Amino acid sequence: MLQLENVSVRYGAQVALDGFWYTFLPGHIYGLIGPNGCGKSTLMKTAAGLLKNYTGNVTWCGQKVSTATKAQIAYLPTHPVYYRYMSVEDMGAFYEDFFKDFDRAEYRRMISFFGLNPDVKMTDMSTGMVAKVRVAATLARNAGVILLDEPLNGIDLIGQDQVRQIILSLERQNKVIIIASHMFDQLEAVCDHVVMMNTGKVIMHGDLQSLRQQYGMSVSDLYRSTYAQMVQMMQMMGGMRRW
Amino acid sequence: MVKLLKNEWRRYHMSLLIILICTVGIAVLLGICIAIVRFLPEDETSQSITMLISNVGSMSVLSMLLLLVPYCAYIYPVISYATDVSKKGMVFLTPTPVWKVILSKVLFGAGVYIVTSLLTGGSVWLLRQIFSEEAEIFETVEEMLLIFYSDEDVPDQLMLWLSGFISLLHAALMIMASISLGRFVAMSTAAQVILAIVFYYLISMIEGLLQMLIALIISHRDLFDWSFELIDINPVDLIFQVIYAAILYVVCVCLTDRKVNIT
Repeated sequence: MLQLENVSVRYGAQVALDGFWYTFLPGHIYGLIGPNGCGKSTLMKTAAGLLKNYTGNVTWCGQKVSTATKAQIAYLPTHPVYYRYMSVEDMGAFYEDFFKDFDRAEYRRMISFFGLNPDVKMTDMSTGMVAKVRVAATLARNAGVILLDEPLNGIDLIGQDQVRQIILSLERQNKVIIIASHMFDQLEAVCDHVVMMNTGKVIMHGDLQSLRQQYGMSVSDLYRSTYAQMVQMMQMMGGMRRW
Repeated sequence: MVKLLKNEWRRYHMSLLIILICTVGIAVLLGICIAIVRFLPEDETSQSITMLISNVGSMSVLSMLLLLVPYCAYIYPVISYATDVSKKGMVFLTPTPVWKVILSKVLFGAGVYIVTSLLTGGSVWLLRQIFSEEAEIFETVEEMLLIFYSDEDVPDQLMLWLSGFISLLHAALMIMASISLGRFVAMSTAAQVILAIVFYYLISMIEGLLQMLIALIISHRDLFDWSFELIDINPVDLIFQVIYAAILYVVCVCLTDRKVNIT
């Protein structure tokens, strides 16, 4: 399991994560949702072992996340990260060189499923096409943790369906899959758990089915109403202060 | 490490190949020109053509040796490092320790230095053989080539090459350490760039001060001086540069490891 205990991250005076506590269990797909700047990407980077300036504990199967755990944690960053020389095939070669759990055949299968030409250079591709290649490279790893930060950004509707199809087809018995997104309605069909965040903290979490039954609405609607209430409260507090 | 070096090669092989082809190409062109000149009659026009080739040749060989080799040796590691610590650093997503990533860049720079110096050295040697037969008309080139290659001064030239090798890797590590310090201290890109420049000068100043201190401590400094005809190289300075470069490498690794942020 991926465990975050009282994790705090600061960027100067700005607090990105504020005593974040949560345990992500294998066999589930978690939707990490929240407004822009609530700390989703920082959480993903911390769990991926890319941030060192945090306080608290982040562990995967009892092992503190570090450079070594990157071998078991597949991470898809928000921004496109690739070298200018790379073609789609080169991307596969790079992943094969550096990740033991990378399945090149599976990667090629996904690339063909997306209808992409493996010989095209990444620099000659559209944003959506690059996003598909990056998703394929990340999901072709047989990692214990899969962290997808805004995986549908820039991808067309058909492509989004394909990504969802691939995620659902993943063997997930021993895997923790976390998908961070500010467009949860596009991922609600894929996730079975949700973690709502605001100002670097968990404000609501649980099984999607239970939340739907408890509140009598879809989680996307619950998300909207929760944040609408919070904004209203903040406005009221601001108004009171002005008095 | 092999995989890291392979990745560096994949990233920069095109521009490197162009540079290497240019290096050999200039030498070949010069050779062809000399061959043509040999067939020309000994009149005034031929003399002026010979002079022109002589001058262009000198300039080309000089630029090859003085600009190309150093450029390749320390620009590549610096560019590669600066790209990787920015938002494009794919290698930091991999389970590779930072010390290995940075070492691979330094080694790649060293490899480039060795290959380009072998190629330019080979070209110079070839030109030297050709020019020795035409010593009278190619006096300028002959003299210039003697600085870099002479059959009698092989140890001198090897020492010159080694000191160049150490100086360039040391310079590359100085820039890389300055970049990492700038990134560690500042948040915004503009501030990081300015601070990197400031740190570069600070590191240079500290180095200068330490060198002065060492010179003062070693009172019998002259005993350590090796007498070379071409260049005055002090082995203590070279050893100091190696140690200083190692310290900068450690600083660079620690700071990069502390603040790798690719997105």
